[in-house]
Amino acid sequence: MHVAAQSSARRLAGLALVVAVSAPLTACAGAVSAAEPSSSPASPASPATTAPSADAYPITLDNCGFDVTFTQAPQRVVTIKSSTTEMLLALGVGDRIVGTGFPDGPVPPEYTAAAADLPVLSDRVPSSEVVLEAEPDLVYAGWESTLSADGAGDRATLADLGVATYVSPSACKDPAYQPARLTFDGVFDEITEIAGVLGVPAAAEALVAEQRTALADLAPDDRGLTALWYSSGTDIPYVGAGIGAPQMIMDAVGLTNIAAGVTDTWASFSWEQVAADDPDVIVLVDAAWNSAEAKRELLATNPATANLTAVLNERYLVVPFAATEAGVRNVPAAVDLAGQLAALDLG
Amino acid sequence: MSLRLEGVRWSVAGRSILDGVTATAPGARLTGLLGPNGAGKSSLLRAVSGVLTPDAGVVTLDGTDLLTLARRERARRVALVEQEAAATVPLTVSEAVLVGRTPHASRWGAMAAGDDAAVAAAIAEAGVADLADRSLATLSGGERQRAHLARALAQEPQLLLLDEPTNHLDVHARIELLDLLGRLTDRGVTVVAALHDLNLAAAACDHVILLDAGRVAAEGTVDQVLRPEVLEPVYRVHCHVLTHPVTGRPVLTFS
Amino acid sequence: MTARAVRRPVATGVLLAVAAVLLAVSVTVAVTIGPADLAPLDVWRSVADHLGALGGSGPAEPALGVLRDGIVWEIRLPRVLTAAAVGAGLAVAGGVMQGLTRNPLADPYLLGLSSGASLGAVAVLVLGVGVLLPVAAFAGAVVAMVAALSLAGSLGRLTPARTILAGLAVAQLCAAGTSFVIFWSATGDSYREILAWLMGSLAGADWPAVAIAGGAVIVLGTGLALQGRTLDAFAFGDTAASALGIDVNRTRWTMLTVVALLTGALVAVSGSIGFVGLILPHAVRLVVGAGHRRLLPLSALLGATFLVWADTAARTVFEPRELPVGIVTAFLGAPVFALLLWRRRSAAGDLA
Repeated sequence: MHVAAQSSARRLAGLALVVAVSAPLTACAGAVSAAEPSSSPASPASPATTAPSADAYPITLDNCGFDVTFTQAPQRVVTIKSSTTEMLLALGVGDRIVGTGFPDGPVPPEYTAAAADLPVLSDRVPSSEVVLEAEPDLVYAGWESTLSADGAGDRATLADLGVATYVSPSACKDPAYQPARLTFDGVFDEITEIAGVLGVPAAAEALVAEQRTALADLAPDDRGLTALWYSSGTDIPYVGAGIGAPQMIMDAVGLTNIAAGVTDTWASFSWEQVAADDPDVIVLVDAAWNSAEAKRELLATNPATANLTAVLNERYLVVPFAATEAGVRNVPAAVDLAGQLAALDLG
Repeated sequence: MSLRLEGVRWSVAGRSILDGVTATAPGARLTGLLGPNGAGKSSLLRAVSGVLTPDAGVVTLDGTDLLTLARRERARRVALVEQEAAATVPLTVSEAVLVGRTPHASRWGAMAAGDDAAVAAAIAEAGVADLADRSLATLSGGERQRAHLARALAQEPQLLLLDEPTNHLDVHARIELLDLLGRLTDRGVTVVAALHDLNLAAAACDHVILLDAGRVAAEGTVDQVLRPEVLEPVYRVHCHVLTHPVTGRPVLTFS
Repeated sequence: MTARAVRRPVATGVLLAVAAVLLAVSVTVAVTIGPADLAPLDVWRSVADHLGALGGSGPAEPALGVLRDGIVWEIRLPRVLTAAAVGAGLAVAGGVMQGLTRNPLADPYLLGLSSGASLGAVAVLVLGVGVLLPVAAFAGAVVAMVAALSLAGSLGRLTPARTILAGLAVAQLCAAGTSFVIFWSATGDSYREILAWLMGSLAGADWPAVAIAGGAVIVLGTGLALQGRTLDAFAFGDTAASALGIDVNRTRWTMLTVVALLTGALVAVSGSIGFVGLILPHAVRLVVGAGHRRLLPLSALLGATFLVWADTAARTVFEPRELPVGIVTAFLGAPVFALLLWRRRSAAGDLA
């Protein structure tokens, strides 16, 4: 009947959204791929050489369940999402970027100059035509969902055209490749692997060493403080949960996540539970589309949250959105948060 | 309570359905509204009951101009029983008959004082007392017809309009219906029934109005109207009239 | 009077009283349930204290502590009351729509209301001005209503079939617009909010929401519930209703508009919660019959109770996570209705 068709059209729209939401959501799962079953010669176990040697190639990887083979270092890279762009910049091979897409925000200050001339293919996921027009030999994606036929391109199709694809292993959707919990070691493995692919293992070694040092110097807060990692959402808060990057960072900083019991990377939560737990500190994720300031405002004006200890005393820590995806910014973010925490007056 | 029609006209989408109908249905009598399909019988009944508004003409009931009357007021005096009574109404007979009291209800739908009594009387009169708690959807065609009739009676009308009321009724039920209409006219209710069965009209009606293509072709007593020379041009069949040996009323045969 | 031809199996008053008591008990119990661990007595005492404060005796220091007291007074109680109001309003609106269009599949969103509201809500969520959500949703619903009624009316008289078809056309257009806005400009974060809104959610219901939903139900809903006799007349068809003294066209216009305004207000507060408006009236019909004078008030009370419990389930079954309540209404309601239908097999034919 007509009316039923109307209802089912509405339900169809809802279903479509479920699909659309679950894709990036599972991609957001800060997961590191399990140690690749087929170890690459450039695996972390073997000491990196000082310069890329020809016999490092060919490199074959099982990347999120898709086999990729590199016969030489990619020279023309399209990056999708900020995490991948910044990865290349951090490894010193930003000049190989021929196009970027779907940025999460501006790059960290140290890379601003290098990033200034990077061609932007699209504010959202670039279409496969646009990607191919840039003639890349590698498409490096921060979310697996972007590599689909109606996105940047289906992986098999691109491979047939001679374009290799690589997804951040922590963002694999397949549960077999998602880690039980994201760790810094997992992030460092990622850095090392992609550096191997790009032929700059030395740069990775230096970067990882630098970050390990920074991490080691970071003394986790020992006051047993609880925290809420508030990412988005108004009526239903969306928070960092137990197994993703937020948890990893909070562990390093020494904060106890009130949503640690939820086995997910990020998850929807409830204000009532937040009020019941009354976290000591609230971490606000700052994104261009959902600023920390807006969240502050929301928390202060919502009668349900206005009386939270952290809100009354303005005990907020701010972290930029791009730093919450697994990548080179995790350690600096942890360090920065620790600094903010130390500076907070918790009297 | 005689019903007077003068020059009633109605057309829709450029087609003239009622083309100046002038006739009278005498008060407290059963008037048969006859005519072939498409003559305008149903439309005329709807015009009188207020379902449609004629383009021109006057309709008065006992001197009161029905066309200018407020809807509710009109519905308190005039009740209509349709030809194709809705079959899918999910109400019980009692609830359905109660709907007939709508014109008498107050603004906010509260039950009026006489509602229960009127409903009980209507149900008894229409002979549906044993069906009172049954759902309309479970009734036979004839039973449903009687339930709708009960609803019309609950309106306590001065004028009762029936559109082909005998369609779903068997012989027994038809006779019962005619007896009922006779009791109503005895009580003073004016009844106008559109009928396609000419013999029925011959047997029961006190007065007859013959419509043809939206106009009154003939009007008068049964003896005056139900004659071959009147009927043949209208129905376009050969017609023979006999006289009923007992009642003295005309009996018609066609060929 | 001797022969009582009008026999009602159970007096209307008794049924309404029972339903009202059921609602009151449900509200009282639901407010004690939630992820936070609060003893029922503490909860009721907190509410009583606030109510006493309202009476002007001055707010005392809450016994539970400001934060836990806030859970009761700022989170749970407004939410439970909003659920009751929305449930009542949707059920009445659904029953009226079914009566007006003589179509058992009609629901409150018939005139494209939920699609229009969705378009307004989604636009606002994507633009990041979530605070304007209720206004935008209501405006969207009203615009859809105007468009649907104008379209239906322009075809001639406002018949049930035209109403349904015009509503369908508007709904499809708005749905297309909504999808476009989503895919064009939504980021990962706003997908989540949009989905929760489309499914219908009572999270974040605050006292203004109670005022809006409650006010709409009390003013508009009561007005509709009093139109029972008119709707019964409509059941017999437009001709019969007209012959009974009802101005069919004007009544239909008026009632559709009132339903749209009521539904618009409810949708503005809670998103498009499905199932309640469609199935609750049917469920009530199966038990007490289709006479609207009983059906509408009873649907309101039972709709309120139903949604209070559905929302309680939504916020506790997967605690501390919350489900949008629209998912729960569908899951809860469909089997319950199937059960009712099966139990009353003989009566089911009445719904045709």
